[in-house]
Amino acid sequence: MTMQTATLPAIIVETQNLTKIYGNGYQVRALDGVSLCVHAGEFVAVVGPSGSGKSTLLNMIGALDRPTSGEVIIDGAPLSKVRDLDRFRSETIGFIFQTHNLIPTLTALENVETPTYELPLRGRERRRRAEDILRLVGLGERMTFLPAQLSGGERQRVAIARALVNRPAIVLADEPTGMLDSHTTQDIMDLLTQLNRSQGTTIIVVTHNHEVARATRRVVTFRDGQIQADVPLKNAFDSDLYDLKASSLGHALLSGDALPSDLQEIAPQLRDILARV
Amino acid sequence: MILKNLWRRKIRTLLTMLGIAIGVAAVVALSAFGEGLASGMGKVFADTRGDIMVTQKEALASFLSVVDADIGGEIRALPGVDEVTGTVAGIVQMQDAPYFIVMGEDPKSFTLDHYKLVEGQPLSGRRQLWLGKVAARNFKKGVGDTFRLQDSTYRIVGLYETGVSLEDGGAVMSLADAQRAFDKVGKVNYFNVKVKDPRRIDEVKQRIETKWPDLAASRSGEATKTSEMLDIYRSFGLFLGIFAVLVGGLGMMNTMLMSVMERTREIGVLRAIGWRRRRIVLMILGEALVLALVGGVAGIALGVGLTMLVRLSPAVETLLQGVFRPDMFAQALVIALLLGGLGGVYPAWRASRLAPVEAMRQEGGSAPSMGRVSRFLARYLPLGAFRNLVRRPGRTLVTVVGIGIGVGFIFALSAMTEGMKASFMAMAGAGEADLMVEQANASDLSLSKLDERLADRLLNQPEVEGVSKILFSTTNAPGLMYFLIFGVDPADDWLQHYRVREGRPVARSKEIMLGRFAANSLKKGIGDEMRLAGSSYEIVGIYETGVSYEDAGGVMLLKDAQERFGMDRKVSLLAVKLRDPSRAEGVAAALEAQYPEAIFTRAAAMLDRTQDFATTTTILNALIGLTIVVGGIVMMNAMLMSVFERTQEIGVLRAVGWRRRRILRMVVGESLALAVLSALAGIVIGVVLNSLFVLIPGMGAFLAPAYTPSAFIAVVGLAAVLGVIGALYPAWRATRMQPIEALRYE
Ligand SMILES: Nc1ncnc2c1ncn2[C@@H]1O[C@H](COP(=O)(O)OP(=O)(O)OP(=O)(O)O)[C@@H](O)[C@H]1O
Ligand SMILES: [Mg+2]
Repeated sequence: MTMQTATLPAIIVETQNLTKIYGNGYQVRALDGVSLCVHAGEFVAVVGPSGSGKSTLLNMIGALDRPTSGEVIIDGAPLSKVRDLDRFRSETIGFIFQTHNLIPTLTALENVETPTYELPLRGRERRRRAEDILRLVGLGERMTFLPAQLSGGERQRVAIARALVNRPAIVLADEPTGMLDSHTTQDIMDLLTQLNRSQGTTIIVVTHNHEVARATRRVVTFRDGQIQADVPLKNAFDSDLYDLKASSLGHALLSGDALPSDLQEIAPQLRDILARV
Repeated sequence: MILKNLWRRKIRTLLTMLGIAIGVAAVVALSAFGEGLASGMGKVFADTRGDIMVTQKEALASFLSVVDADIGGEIRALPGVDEVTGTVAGIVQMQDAPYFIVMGEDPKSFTLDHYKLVEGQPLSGRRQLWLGKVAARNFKKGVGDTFRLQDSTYRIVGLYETGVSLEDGGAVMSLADAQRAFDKVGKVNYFNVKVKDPRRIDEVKQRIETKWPDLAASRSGEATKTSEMLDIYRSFGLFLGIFAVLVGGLGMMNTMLMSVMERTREIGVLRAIGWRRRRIVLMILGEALVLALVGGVAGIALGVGLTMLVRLSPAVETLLQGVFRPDMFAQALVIALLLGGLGGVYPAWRASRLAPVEAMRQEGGSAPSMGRVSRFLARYLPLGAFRNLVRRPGRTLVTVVGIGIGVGFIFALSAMTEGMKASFMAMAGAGEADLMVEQANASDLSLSKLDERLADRLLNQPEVEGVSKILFSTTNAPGLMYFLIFGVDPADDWLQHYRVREGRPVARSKEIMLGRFAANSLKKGIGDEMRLAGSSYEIVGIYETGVSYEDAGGVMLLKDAQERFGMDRKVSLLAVKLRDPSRAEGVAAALEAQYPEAIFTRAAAMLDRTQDFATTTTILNALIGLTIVVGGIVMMNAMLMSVFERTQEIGVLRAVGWRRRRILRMVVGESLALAVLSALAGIVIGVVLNSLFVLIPGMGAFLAPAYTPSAFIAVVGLAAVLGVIGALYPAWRATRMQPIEALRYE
């Protein structure tokens, strides 16, 4: 037991019974008692239907909003006790918004530079870092463009560069590839995977895209503000199973709807396996 | 839909309304000021219960006219005349009442019916007076109390009310008492005539004017309406009105521009989903009109409130009634609707002309590609603080204009005041004399009277080197609003003060020299005749002093002037030269103790004690106070609007980890730069505005704006301080929100 905990990486993100209620007259329970543990170096996908609370969860973890009740614990420190949240946001978190949220008056390069202002860096060093990271996302040629002059995908990539420029320990990405074609999506996911492997960056990515979810190693499914499933994907087989479960066939299997006749026989076994996933 | 849109964006709606309200308030308060000046003065002599008023011809105002009392009997003898009564109107300066009006009336005369006695008894003997209700309140006096006036003590026997604030702030006494008190024994200011048959007023009028060519007879009420003095007040009111409309109107339009420019993107979306241009423009117009209407009504209330506030000072209260007329409100509302609508429609129209995609890409009026100017600036300016300003040229421009209007407003008005002070200072002969002497208790320099012999007595003082006698009065000449006459002894050094450019100085009786401006306006030259009050003068010289009041007047011999203005052996002013000018202050105090009937002022400090100027200063200070309040709110509002727009941006910066302090520092730096830039623009606006006013014929001569470094610094400082406060509040508010809230802020 002791040996096991010693070899397991530390828990870096933990939510305890996290609840967020929006509104005062009408009330929306966007998160309803969510408890989740993420170990350092994990690559987690959060999936679920629209309005199920995925963005809300990410906002809480990134200290962009306060929960109604419950606690977010980052690296052992409850956020409600952290005094300098600005520093936390600047140094620990890289946040990629669902809508890119670039500052319209700043060029791509300047936008990427913004998070570095809170680090003890020289101007030149700051610029070099921002340039490097922009090149990494393939925007070496677009550095002096204003957001209004960039395509949707380019803006998203600027936003990703901005999230990574401070080399945060945790990257929170809210549909980072929502506006990208599958090729670029693949590139971005490779980038994040690379980051996850080489730097050990913890990544939580909200997505509707199965390809994206497959690139991760754990899938958390949300429904109505609660965790419906939490599935580790250890290998390709697991991720195929996951795909199956997410497909309409998977749905049919689990809900016991009518199945094609050639599947009727192995249906119970499949259902068994899927139920464990 | 329209109301919903406005309601959903409460802060923007509120700020836009505030911008409009303050513009309307400026229009209302300033017009009320101007109107109050005009009618406050006008009403005093308007309702005299007589049919005809007889004054000295060409007197600037009825209380400056002087007529022999005996003529009253002769008028009475004319056919058709029923009753005649003479009045002496005196103006006294008192503590907190720079224009304390004392009317001397025959106790049996019909003119007394004008005063509604609310307490006490009729005037029945010497040294009695009635006090106006406002005066009674201000001086805390009642029936039975004594009242000191011009070194005599009077018993208050009654309190009256007329509804005219200048009168209610003054007193009434018997004609005989007033003649003694104001040195007018055997004289009156004017007569009121009652005719037997009201249909024959014009006939009687005609008869009086034929019989006495140097008298003017006019229907009562008419006299004051056409009085030149009133015209001057009216012009000043007009000046204020134009000023207010310009500034208020510009302010309103600018606010609306700012408010709609922010919505370019929204308009792009509406176009993209198929809205017609017309629908969009109509929607925005509807919103703009609702805003203008609500803002306008709030502005009227604000304007009335501001005027009330200014009138809290008792000195201003008696002088300025703050007259509100319905058409003033209507005018302000129409301006608000017109300019507000225009300011809203223009950017909406512009945005609707863009391709929808382009409009959608614009954020708060920033063009997707920088303009040429901005690119140029961006290359050469240190980007840190100015980047945001340069990249959002639209927003920067409207903010600059908004703040600039506020600054220009303050700067223009205060420069006018400074100019008037400087004119007075130069006219008072600062530099050429060390001390100025005038009568104690005279409200106005033109009402000051000193015995000539005081000059000789002063000459016997050991410190005094020379004394010049100056008579100063006002009259009017055709084509000029105001004609100042200076009576000077031809042997006196003071004559050099008027630098003769053509011809020669006056030397003999019936000669006059004219200021350059007066000569030009009257189209007169050397050798021409000039008629003043029935006598004719030969123009012998043209002078220039560079002081507008003087250049719009004329100089004649002291003797002629004394005769002309009925000031036998009297002068208005003595200019004293000292052996040791550095001791001026001490000498002034010593002389004042010795001659209590006179005030001794260091020429340089004259302005602070010259009573007519003190009065003007009081009014102007009240005006400036008003201006600073209005201009200040305008500036702050522009900055508030400009930074509220940036809530989202601040949310982004917070989300990437910027500290509050860094954000605030950035916003303060930018707004400081913006405020200073705007202040400079505003100063230019102010200077241009003033230059335009000076061009107005007839009025320009009395307006000589002076730009002092301190006003410059003060106004830039004010803009900086208010700008930063206006920027800090919304920035601070945005940093207090949860980052995600700020991000979602529309
Ligand atoms: N500021 C807010 N005020 C009120 N309700 C909100 C607010 N933000 C989100 N909600 C509600 O909370 C619920 C969860 O929203 P959330 O943005 O977390 O969904 P999501 O899972 O990210 O959906 P999507 O996949 O569409 O982005 C939704 O029902 C939404 O309507
Ligand atoms: Mg979401």
